[in-house]
Amino acid sequence: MSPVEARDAAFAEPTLPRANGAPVFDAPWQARAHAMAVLVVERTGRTWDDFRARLIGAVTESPDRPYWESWVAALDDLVDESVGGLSGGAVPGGGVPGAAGDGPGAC
Amino acid sequence: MADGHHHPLPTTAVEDRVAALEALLVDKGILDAASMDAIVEHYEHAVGPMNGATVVARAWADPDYRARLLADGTPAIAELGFAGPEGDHMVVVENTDAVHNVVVCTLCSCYPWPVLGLPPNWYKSPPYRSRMVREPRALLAEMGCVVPDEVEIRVWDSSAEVRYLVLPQRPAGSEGLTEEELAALVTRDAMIGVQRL
Repeated sequence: MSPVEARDAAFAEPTLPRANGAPVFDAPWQARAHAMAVLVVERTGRTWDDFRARLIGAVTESPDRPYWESWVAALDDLVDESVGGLSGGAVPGGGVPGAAGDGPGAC
Repeated sequence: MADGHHHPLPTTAVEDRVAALEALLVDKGILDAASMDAIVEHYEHAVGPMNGATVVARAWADPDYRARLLADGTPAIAELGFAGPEGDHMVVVENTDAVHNVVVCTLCSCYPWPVLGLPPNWYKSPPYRSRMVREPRALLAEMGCVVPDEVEIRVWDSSAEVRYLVLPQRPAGSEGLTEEELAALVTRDAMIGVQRL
């Protein structure tokens, strides 16, 4: 998935808060959380649907939690599975498919 | 955030979490700051200022709305459904033939997110914050916004308490356009006051 395709999929995400059809962010951290999901999906060889399933899971789990906090919970989950996350301890040998070899210079 | 100690609002747990995740991903080589910045910059331009443009277009098209907007920005903006903690005390300042307004936040990067989306990178830069106060005419010209000598420049310093939005002058030749067409003419930079339409 190219960065542009990942971004398109991320912007087509039907649950995003919108105004006049365009996604809206109320604060910079929300945009960073969005951008991070785009890049993690792309660089770990996943699809947007993978993230989406986690997002829906997070929203279902805590329906009263603000949308972007559920987004961060889903991102946490994705990162946790990819690199061990913040609480998952050290990552043995860096087990990230597509990340170690390609690195940041891949796109 | 590098200038966090200047920011009047403390960071929240979720902001800290996002920053920690980003640091971890950079550390693991999955993310790099340049790619993150490129995407966020795209958001600044593509998805940010639509709400503000809607407000400006309504003010151009409807004199009664314009009067309400200039008298008290917050409720007038809320009429269109735009509100939020960063837009609680909105003051709208109107450009005229005699006055050009421009907004800065000298302390940090206070910005009306609910109407303008994300602040551009330069808004937070120390040179913008200091020079816009000291020599606005020169800085505006450098940014491609030449304000005629006879036009007074008023610089508004945003804070956590009051956030400003510039109401640009309606462009000549825009008579007969619909509100939607008018909104498409409005740019983020014009609503900060670093561009004249």
